[in-house]
Amino acid sequence: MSAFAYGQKIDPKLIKDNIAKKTYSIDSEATAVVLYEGVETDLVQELKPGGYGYYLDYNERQSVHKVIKILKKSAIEEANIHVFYRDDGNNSYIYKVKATIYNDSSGTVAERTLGKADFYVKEISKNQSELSFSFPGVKEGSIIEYSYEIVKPFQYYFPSWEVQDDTYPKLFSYYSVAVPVDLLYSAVSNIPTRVAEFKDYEEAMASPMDFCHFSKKLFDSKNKSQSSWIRKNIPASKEEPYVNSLPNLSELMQLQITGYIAQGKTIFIRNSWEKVNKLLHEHPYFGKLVTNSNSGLDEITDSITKANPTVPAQIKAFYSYVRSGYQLIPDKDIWSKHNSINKIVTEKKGTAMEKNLLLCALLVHADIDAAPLILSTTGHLSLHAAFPLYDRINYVACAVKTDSGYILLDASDKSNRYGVLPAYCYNGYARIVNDTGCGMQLLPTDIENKNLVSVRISGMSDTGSKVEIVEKHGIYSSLSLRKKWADDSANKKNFLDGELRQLPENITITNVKVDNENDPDANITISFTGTIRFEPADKWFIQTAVIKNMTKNPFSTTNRKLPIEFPYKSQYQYYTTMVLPPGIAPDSLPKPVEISLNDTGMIYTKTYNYHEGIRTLTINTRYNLNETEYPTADYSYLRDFYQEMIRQDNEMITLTRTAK
Amino acid sequence: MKPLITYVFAMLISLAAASADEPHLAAGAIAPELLKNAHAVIRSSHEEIRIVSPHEVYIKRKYAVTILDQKGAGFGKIREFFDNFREIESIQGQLFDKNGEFVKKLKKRDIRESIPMTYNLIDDDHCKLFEFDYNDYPYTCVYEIESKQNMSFAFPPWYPQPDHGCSVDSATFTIVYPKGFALRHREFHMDSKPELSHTDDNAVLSYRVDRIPAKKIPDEFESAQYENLPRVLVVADSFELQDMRGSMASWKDFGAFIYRLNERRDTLPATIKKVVHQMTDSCKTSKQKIALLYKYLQGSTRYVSIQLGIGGWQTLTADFVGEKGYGDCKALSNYMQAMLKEAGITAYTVLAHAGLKTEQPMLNDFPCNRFNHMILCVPEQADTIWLECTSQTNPAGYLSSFTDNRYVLMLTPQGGFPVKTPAYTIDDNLLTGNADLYVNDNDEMNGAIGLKYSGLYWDMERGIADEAKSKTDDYLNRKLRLANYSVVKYSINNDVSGRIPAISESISVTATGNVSHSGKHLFISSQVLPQIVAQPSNIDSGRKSFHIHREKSVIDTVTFHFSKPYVAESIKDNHLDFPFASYSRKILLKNDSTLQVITTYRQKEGSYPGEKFNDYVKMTRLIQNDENAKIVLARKE
Repeated sequence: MSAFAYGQKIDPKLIKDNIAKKTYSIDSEATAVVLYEGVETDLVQELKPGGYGYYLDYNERQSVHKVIKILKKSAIEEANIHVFYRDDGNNSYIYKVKATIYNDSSGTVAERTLGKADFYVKEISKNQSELSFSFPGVKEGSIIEYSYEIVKPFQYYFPSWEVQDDTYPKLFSYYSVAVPVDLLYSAVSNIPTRVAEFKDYEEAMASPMDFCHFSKKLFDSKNKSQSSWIRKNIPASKEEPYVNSLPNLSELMQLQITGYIAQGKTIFIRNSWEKVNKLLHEHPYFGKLVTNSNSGLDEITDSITKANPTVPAQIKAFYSYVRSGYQLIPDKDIWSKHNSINKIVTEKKGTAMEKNLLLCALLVHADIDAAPLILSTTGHLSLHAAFPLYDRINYVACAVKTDSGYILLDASDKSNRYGVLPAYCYNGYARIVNDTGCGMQLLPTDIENKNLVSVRISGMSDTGSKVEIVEKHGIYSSLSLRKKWADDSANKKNFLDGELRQLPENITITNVKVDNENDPDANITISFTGTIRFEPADKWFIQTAVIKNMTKNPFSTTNRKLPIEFPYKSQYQYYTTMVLPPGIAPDSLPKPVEISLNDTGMIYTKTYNYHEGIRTLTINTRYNLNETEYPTADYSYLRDFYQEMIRQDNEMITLTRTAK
Repeated sequence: MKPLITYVFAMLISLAAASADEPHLAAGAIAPELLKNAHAVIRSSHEEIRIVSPHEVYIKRKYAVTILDQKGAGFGKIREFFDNFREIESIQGQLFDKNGEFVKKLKKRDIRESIPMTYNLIDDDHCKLFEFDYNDYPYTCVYEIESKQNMSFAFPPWYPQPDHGCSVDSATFTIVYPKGFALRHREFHMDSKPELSHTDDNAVLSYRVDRIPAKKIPDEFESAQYENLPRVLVVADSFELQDMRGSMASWKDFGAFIYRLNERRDTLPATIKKVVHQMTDSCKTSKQKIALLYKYLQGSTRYVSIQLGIGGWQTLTADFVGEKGYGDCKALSNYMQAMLKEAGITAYTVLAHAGLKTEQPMLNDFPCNRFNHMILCVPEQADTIWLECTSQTNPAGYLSSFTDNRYVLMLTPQGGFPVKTPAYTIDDNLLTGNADLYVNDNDEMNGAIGLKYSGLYWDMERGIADEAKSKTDDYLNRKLRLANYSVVKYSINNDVSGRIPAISESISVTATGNVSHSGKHLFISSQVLPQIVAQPSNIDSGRKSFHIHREKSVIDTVTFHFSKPYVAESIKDNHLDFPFASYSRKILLKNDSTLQVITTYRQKEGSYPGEKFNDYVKMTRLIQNDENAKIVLARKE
């Protein structure tokens, strides 16, 4: 594959080689393939000192170039292009817009370039515009090519190189930055292939390597260094169930400014977690909110510490005070200005971040060793332990240091539980922000949910019996239910309806009771009581699981690309007790079942016992998920494991009349 | 077709208003009956449309809305739309806390300008957005918005109740128009009658509503969202749009205006004319010509929406579409009409309200513009052929659920004529399923499943024929009700050759979990094929009426083959008859080792009184119970 581009110029061979192609080996079912995409960023102008230490007065000149092969009708929408850009009529604008469509015309390439009248510009607001255009004559097999350049003030962030996304496979992705030599930056990539270094583009292209880098010096108005990366043959990422953070598994590279050279001196900024810790710890809208004298908190701390003489009781009391006493309002970006502690206290409301900063401030004010805990929640890119990509931080909790370790608290939501962070906080690396700062890993294996279901069938006669079902939800199951129910009371009704609907049709529930719904520090228990109706007969057929752990295999697809991640460890226990009347006994009982995956990672057992003396039949089922991450190679075993569990849940037993 | 988004979105906040003089905005003063189901309460509102001339119309809205909780926050936002026909002259606002105490004023610099989310590639729609950054519920926003429009083609409908979840204490609506200006109005879900008064030069039409409680959000069994709310439509018999004058006094007149607006835009490029003749000159029937040209249209054009100025109602030329290969519904219909004309066939463009049939039905006795789509009608001697020119997959003559079975306006040189599009019958909308499954001694199954989706079922499934395999995998692994299964082989055939299109799927599967045994007994769940009818997501009774929007039928046959002989232990046929549908399940054990379960379901379209909804829920539950019931066989000794 050599017919590619460099410096955003497309080799006509790229079009010629691809115009008649109908499928691509990278994904034979793809509806479109990106033949080429390139983003080049060039920083011009200067870095100036001033303001809050320094500011960057650079203009960013970004050129974007894409070539896409349309393979199926469902991808034809790709031919409608919208580009949003900053347009202030002065420093920010779009230019050099070009678009061409290529079609196969009996073996030759028919090329059509869009004219000025084909482009539409709509002013969205004073500084924002939208460029729109649509390729004419697009059909299956067409190749569309477009490019443009955008100029805007450099906002301190480089655009991320989103190598992989969930749309189409890419054959070639090119990313380049040209930066003045007195500006320092670092690149962090989660591309799971080692980058190979090359002298120049030609050498990189000639290599069989799929991830290449080369750099060179540019000499224009200012000395610059240009770094370029090439990634070849990138499949589209695909959302699959049981992935905690898809961005962690998608290829991406991020660049971050780490320093500058001024008057011959190198000044590093935010190039280590220590520096970011210091910055946040001393920041007036972050660390200082916690460490200030906060005399306005005197009254609250006095009242709580007096009422709770021990430190553990005080921690709990401060937590409860903030959790339930302050309204939670929608979150802001961590780097935006937060309300002062006084304002939060006065208004009795705050964002998740503000509520947890208030909790830290109260604890510190009461001489308890507490500090903000910064992290990135699931669904987002994890923090990087080795390098502070600080724009990934999107959440703040609270860490309290005790003799036995840290107590982690999140007082944001009234449904949250003392001493336990919500599962979304367990997305890898996190940092405690205090005078020294320290990192910790928050992993799904650190937390566990234990659910227990017990079913008791008693008072059995020829026509029916009594049934009692008790569902004891674990910490995370309770938290999830409580949040959903608090959000909309209809959710509670729907949940309970759903539980009732899955019962066998001969069970009638007459009473439903929910315990601990409003106590966030206790697990939710739901009790159903009712009757089972039997037709008079000599045999009765009973489901071994009237409430099923799952009715459909969550791993339904035959193949899977991504590793399987569970949000926490799980334990599920299901006990059925059936007290039989005299003259009725179970037919032959199934044999006990034990299945496991990865030795002890996942275990399922099911046992049947009939105690003749007390005429009691027990069926005990237990499912333990002890590991939270499974490699893709284990997928088929895991799928079979769940398949067997569901099969076991569908087992029936027969009760037979042994005497009248 | 350019929808009147200005007005549709304005309905959301089509309010009227409270002036600062309103004495008491404290949330505690709201009548308790207005709090039920409510997330916001319109405390008072006044909307006025002042028609100075057909090209000078002023709209003023003043309203006070109390936001009760976070879910009601949307009612406190301003989204004011403007385009070439309408400008926003001023927006003012004030915020009051729960006690009715003044908090702050809207600052002009906090009003954002944006563009609405639309499917258009390009349009001239813009909007002004504002919301108070405040969330100490409850709080009250008082707004006053003035706008001006330079046409009388359409006026914003009055929605005193902006949406479900919002109650209204009081609201008024006034239309001031010159004496002699012919204005029509139609009220929906309004108990109060309008009052007409006069000044020296003007007529004044006034409405007032009080104490409207909040409504629950409608579900799939109710009419479209805004159709349930009180509203007033106002229409000018004579109007101006840009520099054109027209009449909406009758459907004939309105059709004539739209026809005139779009005539002489049908010149095809010479190359296309040549293609038309090459394709059709040798055809023996016009039906053949229509089918060939429609296929050519589908293969050479695509839907791209461009709505600029009057272009919202006036088509792009046939020349443009021929040159670019794209256009919106008007442009593609006009282009197809031009190609048919070139082939000697007369066709008429037709205005329709596409989407849910009950959303904005055409009112035969009240001409007004409620259209958002254009299709093509080709009257033929034997049968009329309807063409959906934006579809690249429909067979010629098939309209789909997008525009079927409703009144539409056919545009002819003689004016507009209401006509009805074809309805698809219970037998057209048919899903047939066949499963032939072999069960081994380990309760594992393998076999073949065939599904055929016809008519409106095809509408729902057709997308899959063009999807990437990864999406097909997901789809396949969700669609069957087998507890555990793997798809071994899959093929799909999309048959668009007939009047009613059909998709046939063949699926080879291996499966477990549907059969289990204990001792000599075999337990079988016949839940294999897709669910026939779902239980309603909202089972609340208390609705005034409910609608079943489509008629359809299902015939499923599931056959299990066993390697050993069995006798029936617990087998029960079932038959249910309800006004909405009938259901039956027959279970047959044939030759000791073949079990066949035949299920049929026939659903009728219709509107039913609310008190019957419990019966509908009961029916769906009985069907589910029946399907859930295990079939028990005993090994033959």
